[in-house]
Amino acid sequence: MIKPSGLTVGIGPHIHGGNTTSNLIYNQIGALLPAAFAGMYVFGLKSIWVVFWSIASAIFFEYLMLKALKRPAATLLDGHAILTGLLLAMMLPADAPWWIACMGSGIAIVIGKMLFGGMGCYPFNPALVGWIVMLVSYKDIINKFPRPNHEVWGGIAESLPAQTTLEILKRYGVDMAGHYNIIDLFLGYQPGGLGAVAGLAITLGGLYLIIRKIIRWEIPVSFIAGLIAMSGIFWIVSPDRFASPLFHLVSGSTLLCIFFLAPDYSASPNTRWGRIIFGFGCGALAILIRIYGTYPNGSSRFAIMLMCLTIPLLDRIRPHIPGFAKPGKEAAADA
Amino acid sequence: MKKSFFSLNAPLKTIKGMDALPVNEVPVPARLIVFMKQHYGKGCIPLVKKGDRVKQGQTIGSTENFAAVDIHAPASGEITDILQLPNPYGGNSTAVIIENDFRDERIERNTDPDYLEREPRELFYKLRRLGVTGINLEPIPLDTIAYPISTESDHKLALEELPPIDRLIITAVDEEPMMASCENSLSYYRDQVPDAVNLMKHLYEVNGTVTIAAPATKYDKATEAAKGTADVQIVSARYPNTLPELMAMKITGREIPASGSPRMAGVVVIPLRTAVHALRAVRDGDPVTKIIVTFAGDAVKPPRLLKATIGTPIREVLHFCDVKESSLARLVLGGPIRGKAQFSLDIPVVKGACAIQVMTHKTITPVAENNCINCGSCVEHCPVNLQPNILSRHMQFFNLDNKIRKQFTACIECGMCGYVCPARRPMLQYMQNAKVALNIPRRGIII
Repeated sequence: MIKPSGLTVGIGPHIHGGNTTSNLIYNQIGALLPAAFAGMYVFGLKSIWVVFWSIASAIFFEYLMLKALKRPAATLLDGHAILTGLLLAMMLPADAPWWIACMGSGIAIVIGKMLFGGMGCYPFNPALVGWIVMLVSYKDIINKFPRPNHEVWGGIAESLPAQTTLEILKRYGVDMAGHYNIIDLFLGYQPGGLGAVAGLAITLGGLYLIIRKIIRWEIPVSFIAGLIAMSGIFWIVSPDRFASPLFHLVSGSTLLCIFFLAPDYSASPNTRWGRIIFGFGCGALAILIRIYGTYPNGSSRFAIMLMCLTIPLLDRIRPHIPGFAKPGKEAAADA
Repeated sequence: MKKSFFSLNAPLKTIKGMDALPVNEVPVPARLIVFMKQHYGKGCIPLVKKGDRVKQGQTIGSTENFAAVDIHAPASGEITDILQLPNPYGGNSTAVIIENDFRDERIERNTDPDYLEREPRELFYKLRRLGVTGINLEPIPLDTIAYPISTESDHKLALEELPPIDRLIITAVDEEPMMASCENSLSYYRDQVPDAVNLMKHLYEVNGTVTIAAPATKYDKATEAAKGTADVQIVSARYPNTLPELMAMKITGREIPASGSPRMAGVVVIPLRTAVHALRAVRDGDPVTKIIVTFAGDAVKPPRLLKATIGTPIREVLHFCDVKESSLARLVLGGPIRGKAQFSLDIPVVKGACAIQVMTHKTITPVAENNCINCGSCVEHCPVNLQPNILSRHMQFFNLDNKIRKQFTACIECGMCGYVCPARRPMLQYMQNAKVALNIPRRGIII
């Protein structure tokens, strides 16, 4: 009477919003590409090799780990290895030797990502893990950035030491750092990571991600708020000892951290207020590390790593679940 | 469904213009499959034997189970078989096969123009005998909505502790997207709306506000149809807000206890279609044998509204709408989110079905136990502020304890987490499995 008719069965929802993991990741890669191209334009075409080695070794190591952990190799197609490699390359100097890029990517993928269980399980952004290991291991190579290509710009930075603006601020004070024009810094004419310095391109990419809701607005906005609030306090107290909030916002890899490194899916809280506190803490900590720490270059990245430790706690900040007594009332009832 | 560029995780919207469709009547087929279980409770016991002749509207199955109603012959004819068949809700149940003789002999209707003077208790009994239920897939009788069964549950709320009913919400909003049956009932049953509202008011002994919940586009139509018997309130027609629990919370501002029905906050939510069915049952003595279903999905364009006889195999509906059987990949009874997928085209239309969804391979999303990528989409879209990403992992690795049980209890199984999940995890299934594993009662039926 009732015979199978070759239909598929399954549990609801039978329709889907259309999002896929790879869709989200490839959109992020696409949003990063303008910054990568801007970096190549500013630092010369040779920097493409850093990007190449970084991405290639990230894919290679992810494949090795998938085989070793007996996971389906199809996971490689979600593009997260490419994104991790690209993010790491963005933070490396444009003339980094190939083995730095390969080793950094390998550490990012093997230790930072796969040993924790792959995407969704790692507690820290893998690209950050790779970069920080390389920074403390090969400090001289990672921290020596080439000068931007002055043939295309002819800026005033020629006369300044080839160090990042944050290091100049730390070592020579706010007067020396003041030689840099804020607009120049925003456009990417400053020594620094390959793609991390191209502020305009990164901001455009970040806005694209926020508009398409691939990343949520809370972390970037509260990150900027925390950065401006903390540096603003110092700046108002003593403008000739501390740099302005705008200088902090556009120098170094701050914008890359705001739009790409901090709003990582696994390594960020899930609830709205958790994200806001996370972002604000990142911004405020970054300024404190810049002013009192010894690593001005990696300040925002160290701040993100530190804030990642609080994610399990921040995930518990969640709105009231309807149907249960509010926590205060419950405690009162128990007592 | 097409996604908008500006938000990759766009929540669902109902299809525009579907409620204005005309209602076409599907002809009664030659053979009807009538299941004895078309409700939440136990199946009815057949009152007929093989070879009996039945008239349209004759009671062919009856039971006194707490969440069950009687079943009636949808057409006149001969009973050719009584056997166990796979039920659309799962499992096997008794089915009565009726060979239609196309004579359309009807049993005499027991009309009652003074129905408003009867006791609610008496009316509730009559409604059960005439087979009136709600409209979700495993519907319950109208009295069970007002006086749920008290069992060993989290709340252990005795029936006496239930608050009096002081809010009645009659919804003219469809629960799920790609459905228009409820919105359409405002136009289709226009003349009967005031009487139906008055009946519901009398039935539930409401001494408070009666509200008709309608989408913004239907406000004028609802005000006109209500003729002052009820306030009309505009509610959002976006998917999770249209579920009874959320709608009741939004309209009344009260909180419904976790895993409870709106009744536990003194609110009764009745779909307009059910209210009209009840009116026709108590006034005209009409049993429920025909229902209006939405026939939608990407295999049928444009979507249609059909008046179908209970027991019509869906194959007949497909033929009526000129849908090729070979193009189908999935058939869903109910809405596209919470409906039940069927394995066969011979499955008949049942009482609780509000929609029939026919889908091609393009729509179906294969799900798998992929890793959660922690993107937070489900947390953002959860209407009851849960963290489905964490809960589903608790179920995936079977790490269920009392602390986490509380959160599973609050889940209303709306399915939004599965709809937005980019990793395509079977989120709704995880939630339902966990509820079974933790022995949490289904929401809305039992207190």
